[in-house]
Amino acid sequence: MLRTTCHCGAVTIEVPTRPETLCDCNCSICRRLGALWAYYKVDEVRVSGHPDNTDGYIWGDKTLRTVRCRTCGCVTHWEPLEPKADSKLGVNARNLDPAEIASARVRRFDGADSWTYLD
Amino acid sequence: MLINGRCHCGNISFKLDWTPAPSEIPARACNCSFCVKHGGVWTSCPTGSLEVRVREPAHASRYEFGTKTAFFHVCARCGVVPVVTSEIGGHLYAVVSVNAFEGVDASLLRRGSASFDGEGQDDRLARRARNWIADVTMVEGVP
Repeated sequence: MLRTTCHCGAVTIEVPTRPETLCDCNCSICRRLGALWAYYKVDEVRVSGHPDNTDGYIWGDKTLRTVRCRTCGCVTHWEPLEPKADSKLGVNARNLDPAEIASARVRRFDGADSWTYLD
Repeated sequence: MLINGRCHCGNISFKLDWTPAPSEIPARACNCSFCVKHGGVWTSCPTGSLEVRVREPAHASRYEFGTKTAFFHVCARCGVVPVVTSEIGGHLYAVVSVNAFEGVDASLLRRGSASFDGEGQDDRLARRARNWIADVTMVEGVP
């Protein structure tokens, strides 16, 4: 289990395993947020301080929200708006200890255009 | 060269007039505790001029930490951090986020990392006054 927080500590996130693969998406929101996504099943991830200390942003086809700490703005994860049993969410691995993700494979996703991996 | 940038929802935007026109744009991934968590990549042109527009100041927040000598301007709608400002001796300096650029040829970016660990506060402020954009205008509440 890995546990980490946003910068100010108001939101804590726990994931079950060290991510092996990370997604670097170039879409209009992901690139601006500087996010690096690690995917888990919704029920595998524990987020404390959410929604009390968080704000969300929903846009486009309105299927998910990016969630961030209301104080320091660190994006902790995105979550589906209508989660099902096998739904996934994306944890922003930027919040993890860089040493924990150093060996992860980073895949570049072309969310801006072709909606495919570029590697 | 005029560089436009904005957060995702457009609440915080900037126009950076990079003078003289750059042959390359340094894009510095900072390794401080905040920038690592934000994937922050910054640039500045000390001889350029910057206009920052905040359409709805009620939906923009400022975060500071450590030496509390800089504000990270966070859009409280979409969460993007397009600009950092630092007031030094009554003068406003800024850097902008490369991640917030619009329509800039990626081949112009010279990516690198930046580490300011161990830098004293006086040296930090002197570096900003030397390297950050020194001609900064903040316009708030105007569509």
